[in-house]
Amino acid sequence: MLMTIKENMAIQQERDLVYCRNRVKEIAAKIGMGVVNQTKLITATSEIARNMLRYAGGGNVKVEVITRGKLEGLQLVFEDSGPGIPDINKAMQDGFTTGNTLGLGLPGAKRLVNEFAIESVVGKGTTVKILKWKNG
Amino acid sequence: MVYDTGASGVLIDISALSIVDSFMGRIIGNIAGMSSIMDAETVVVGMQPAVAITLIELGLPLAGVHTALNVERGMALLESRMSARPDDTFDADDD
Repeated sequence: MLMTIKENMAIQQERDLVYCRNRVKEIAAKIGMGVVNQTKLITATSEIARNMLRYAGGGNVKVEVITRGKLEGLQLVFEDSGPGIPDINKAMQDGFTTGNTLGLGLPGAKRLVNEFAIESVVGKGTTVKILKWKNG
Repeated sequence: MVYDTGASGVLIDISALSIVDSFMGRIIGNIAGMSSIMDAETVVVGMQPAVAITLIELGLPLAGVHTALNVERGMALLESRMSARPDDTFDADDD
């Protein structure tokens, strides 16, 4: 069954995170993603969306159902126009933080999904793209 | 609350949570750390299997936090740890 779901969500405040998590969970359940993969995807979503809120003051999340051959999954694109990340390699290291947190957000989120891409331009903003296959 | 009640144990039931991210993990760790300084031990109970799998992959340590399968086992764990504590009253040694 082919489904075209495309959605845009704004993350401006704490409660938008809750809505975003719930919506991603609903869509993931709709395409038949298992509970463990759902949980991994929502956790990754929560990490990245919270980063966006904390460091960039908010941004946008695009959710899309993706099919590639026999694979079906969810792709999420997080876009912000915040200060950007000067050293992405450093930001992707476990335990690195500029915000007095655990420093697990980005590297942890990467481990929880199947595909992870991050682009950032200092002064322009950051884009994080993640993809989770429903049986991945 | 630990101070007001003189509690020696803190039990946190997270069975209703469908995810625990690093932010929430840090809050749980902070509660456990503060409670420990106030001489109370913390047990987290009711973690869903999918949450546990995710936490491991995320790399969240949850250091200093004990876990138990459910509330009953959590209380039993706290009770056994309380009874294993050395007696609080100071015994003067006459020798």
